[in-house]
Amino acid sequence: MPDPELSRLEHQIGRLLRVGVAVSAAALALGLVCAVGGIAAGDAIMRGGLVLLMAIPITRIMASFVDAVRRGDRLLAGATAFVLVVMALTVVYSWRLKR
Amino acid sequence: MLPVVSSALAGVVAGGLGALLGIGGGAFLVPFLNLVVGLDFKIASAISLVTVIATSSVTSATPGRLPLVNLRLGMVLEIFTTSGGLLGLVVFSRSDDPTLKHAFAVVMAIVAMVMVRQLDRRTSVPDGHTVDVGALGGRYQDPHTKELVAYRVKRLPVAFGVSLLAGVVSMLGVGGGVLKVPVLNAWCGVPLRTAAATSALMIAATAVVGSISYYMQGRIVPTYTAAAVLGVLAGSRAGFAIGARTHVRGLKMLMAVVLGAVAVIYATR
Repeated sequence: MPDPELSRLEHQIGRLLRVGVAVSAAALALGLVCAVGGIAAGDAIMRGGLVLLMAIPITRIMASFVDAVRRGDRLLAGATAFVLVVMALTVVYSWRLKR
Repeated sequence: MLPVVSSALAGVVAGGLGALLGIGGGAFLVPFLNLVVGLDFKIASAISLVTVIATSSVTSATPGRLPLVNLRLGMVLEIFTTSGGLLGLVVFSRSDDPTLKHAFAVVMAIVAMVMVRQLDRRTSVPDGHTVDVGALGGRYQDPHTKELVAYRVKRLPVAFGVSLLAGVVSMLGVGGGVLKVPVLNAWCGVPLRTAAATSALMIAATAVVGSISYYMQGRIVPTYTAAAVLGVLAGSRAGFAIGARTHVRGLKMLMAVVLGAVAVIYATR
């Protein structure tokens, strides 16, 4: 049978994805309406929505890492840690590229 | 105002077609934003990549879909898709516009070919209780037959390689699922439903790598991106609703021709 611990993680990931996308979409819609209507805060609200959208998968991977460490799952802990390092390297690379 | 409306419309069409055809919207959105709305190719691919996060997250969170995901396999392959993404960023940041467009033409041609040649072989063993699935294999309940299905993952280096390649090409604004899913299914023994669901979840992580970088480089224009993301979300919702009731064989052939034509346009630029 499927691993019940892993099913619980799946359940939490599902909720994170649904709520995250809904909140991000609401911010993008509000920001877009403000921006089109000439309200200065629109840009900041849209940027907030975009950052939130990008944060969803990062949060999923962080949650999976914590969960894997807690369950002593070395393979998953290592894989998720590696992905988080790649994301950190991307930030460093992009920051250097910008300068 | 007009580019904002057309970005949203492009999102609706791309999201709808992507959901109907099961290939993700990026393949349609990049050419739409670039050729129809008139945005720069680099801006179009950056915006498309952000919408990929939204589609991937929504698709994965659909009820009944997440149990099909093989989380262990997905997270191991994410090592390669995200590394490929970073590699793609480094390579493409040194490429000029024609090179990027030619690379995009190749990807479009592959997408068109995959759509024409739907690979679907039986790769799973119905008696799911007794089979040893190994470290990365899995079991799932088939939604139609209610049987417990088990599978082992074969030829791991192939899965790693295609994930790396998918990560690289993702940076052009597409998800890369169209490369991974057929290979995982046909060569690595992963059932089609699991391959598709697992790939959809992974794609968000790959897209985040590119999105972070493009955001920091200022290639993500908030108004157009917000409009496109909202359009894609609405379009894919509609696409799934229609797709559940319709046969899309004819549409698939038509869109394969359209994408083939897009490939030719980009190849000659």
